[in-house]
Amino acid sequence: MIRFRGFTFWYPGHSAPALEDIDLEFQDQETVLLSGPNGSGKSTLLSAILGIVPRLTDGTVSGEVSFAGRPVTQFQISQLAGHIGIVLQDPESQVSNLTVWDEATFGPSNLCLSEQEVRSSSLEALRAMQMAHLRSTSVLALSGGQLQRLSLACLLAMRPEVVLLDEPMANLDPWGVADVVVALRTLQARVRVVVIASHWLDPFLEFGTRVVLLDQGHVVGDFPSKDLYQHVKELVSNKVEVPEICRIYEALRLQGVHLEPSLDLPVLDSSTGLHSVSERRVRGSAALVKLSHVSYQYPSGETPLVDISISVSDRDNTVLAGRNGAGKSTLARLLVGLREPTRGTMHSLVKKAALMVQRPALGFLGTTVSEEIGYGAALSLGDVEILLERFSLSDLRDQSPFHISGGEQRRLSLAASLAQRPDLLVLDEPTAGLDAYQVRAFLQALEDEPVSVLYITHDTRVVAKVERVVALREGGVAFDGSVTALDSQIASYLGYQHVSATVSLALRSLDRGIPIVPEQIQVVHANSVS
Amino acid sequence: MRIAYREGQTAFHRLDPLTKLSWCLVATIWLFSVRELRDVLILSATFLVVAIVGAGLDPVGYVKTTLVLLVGGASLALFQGFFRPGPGIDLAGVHLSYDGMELGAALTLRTFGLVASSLAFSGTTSPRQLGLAMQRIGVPYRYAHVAYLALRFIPLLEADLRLIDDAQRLRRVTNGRQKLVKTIVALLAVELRRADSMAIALETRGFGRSARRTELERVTIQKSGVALVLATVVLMCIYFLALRS
Repeated sequence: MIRFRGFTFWYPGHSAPALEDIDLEFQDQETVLLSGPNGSGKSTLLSAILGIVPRLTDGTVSGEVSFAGRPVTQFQISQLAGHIGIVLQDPESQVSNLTVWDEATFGPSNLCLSEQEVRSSSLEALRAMQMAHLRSTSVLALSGGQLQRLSLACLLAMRPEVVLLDEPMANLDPWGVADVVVALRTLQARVRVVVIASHWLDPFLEFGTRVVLLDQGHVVGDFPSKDLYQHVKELVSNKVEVPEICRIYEALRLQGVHLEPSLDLPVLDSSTGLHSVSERRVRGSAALVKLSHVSYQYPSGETPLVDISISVSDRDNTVLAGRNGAGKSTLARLLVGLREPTRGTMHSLVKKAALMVQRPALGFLGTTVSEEIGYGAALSLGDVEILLERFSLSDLRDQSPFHISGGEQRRLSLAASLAQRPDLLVLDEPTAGLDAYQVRAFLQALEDEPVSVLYITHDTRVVAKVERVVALREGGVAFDGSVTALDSQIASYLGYQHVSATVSLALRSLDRGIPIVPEQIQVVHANSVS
Repeated sequence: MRIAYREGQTAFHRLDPLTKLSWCLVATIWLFSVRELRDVLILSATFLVVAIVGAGLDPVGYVKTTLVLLVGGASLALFQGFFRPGPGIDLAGVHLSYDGMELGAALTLRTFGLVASSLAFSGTTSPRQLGLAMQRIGVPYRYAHVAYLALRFIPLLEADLRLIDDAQRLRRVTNGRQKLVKTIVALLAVELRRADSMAIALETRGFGRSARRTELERVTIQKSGVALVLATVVLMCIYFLALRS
């Protein structure tokens, strides 16, 4: 159906090809999981299938990509609409209408189908994605998961043969991930080929048929999904995050529970229990900010925070969690002094606070990477060099901060924030779209910093590393305590079972002390409990 | 945003966009053809009443929207009074002519009337209807949709501006000009990326593939709308005829 033959592509001005000598074939009824670290060429490969590269990006091409036996260069991109559909990262930027119905009918209308066909195919697609009841809803009122489902419905409405998805889970909260997994199962049954590019394999394993690994523009692995366990070393050597399910079986094996590894959660016998174990350092004790019975009301009358009492200590390491609209962003802005409480009292000893927003580029002030780090900070050139080196940005020092990749922008934003020497640092979804290695490097960079860090995130990889979780529900504090004390009710409310196989497994038998990642699993054998 | 479309069941909501637009044009022509200050005042007040009653315009919102105009209008009246010759008053040794001040005041009042009729249109016409109306008068759908698209971007821009402001305040960017430049650069960089994604999304969904596309809705010109436009034209003609005699 789709075939790459000796395909190589260079972006203009780049010293290495984004894809090199790719030979691949995607057949009917395949759901291909295209994985690899950030910058490995996944998005470029998807774009090449539609001819977006080189048509819209310029660059040099050799070799060929063909669809149904014809080179894609023979088609205009819009001519492939109805045959191949794509959802890029960040669905919010791709929605071009104001209501769900207008958006769903947009594609079929462009294909000049009859009115009857436009209506029926759009309605059918919305029903398939469980969005039909929202057809008159404004797209501005949709959650991330709903937007992603709408994007999928828009593709389905055009009845394509091939669907390409670029990091469909990036920027979604756990509930959004759960939504999209259900939607993808439906989608898979209705199209001939699905190709999903994602550095995170876990949510797709149950319906993916094949895994293709990319690294530095080369295909470095290609195997059926069911053979995953035979290729774990390949994943590790190519910097692909090993799926959590594999790590769970390994954690159990290391503790004497030998089960046949599979893609399903293990079933433990009644004599085997689980506990959570983790080593945590308590960093600080002196209160940096203290809120007592604080409420906040917008001028519109909306009250996102009601009667909140919490404190953040110096050198605290906290995750602020909660579903959309729970009040996380407002609370973070109160803590850093960007908002004032409308009721209650706030005592703050914060001299300098820094905030990394979800799209780091919005906060950039410098014209080059090195200027961005030094902007407004009392740093010598040597200090800037040290930070450039530490965050692996030295090669980019003279580039515009706006022209580097998303992962590099996040590292730069963190470096620029730390250059300010803040005593409180708020990071809003800092790991969205980052692969496991980048997340690890990101967290390591913060480990020994004399700063109190507040993560607003759904990422369980981050949650597993912090000392404390504050969970908000409907503007109030639902939980405030150590991660090891997380109970099943809060873990379920936060939806961690949808993004963490470990939590999913733990919720079967534990009420509290829920492990977040496989490395926290501690097996307790009945005969060893006195 | 006070100029944005809001759903409702007012008389103007039920009218088609083309006749509403025609009515706005007639109102504008009438407003700018009237010379007497008293007549401009009556006409502007009439259009305001029509907008409040017929289109559900919020009077408080209208006052807030036009507050800047009031300050500008007062300055304009003083400016015209200062530069136009003729009898007038002396304030602190400065001569202000009646003619000039009347001219400035009339210009301001016309703008008030114009804003009222425009808000009656924009507040009751959905972007979708507007796009369809543009197609109806011969604008190719690609351009009509771009206007619609611009409205989709406004809330995203507003949210981005808030984030930029938060980030800049924490890094103590307070200098007015510097803040403005940095804001524009960051916004442009982010929105250009967003526009790139949007362009790809549009093209991969067949936008612009052919000169025509299937439209599920059509703009039909309604009798009630035509009657409103005709009535306004007739009243305008009667006014000018009465003025001549």
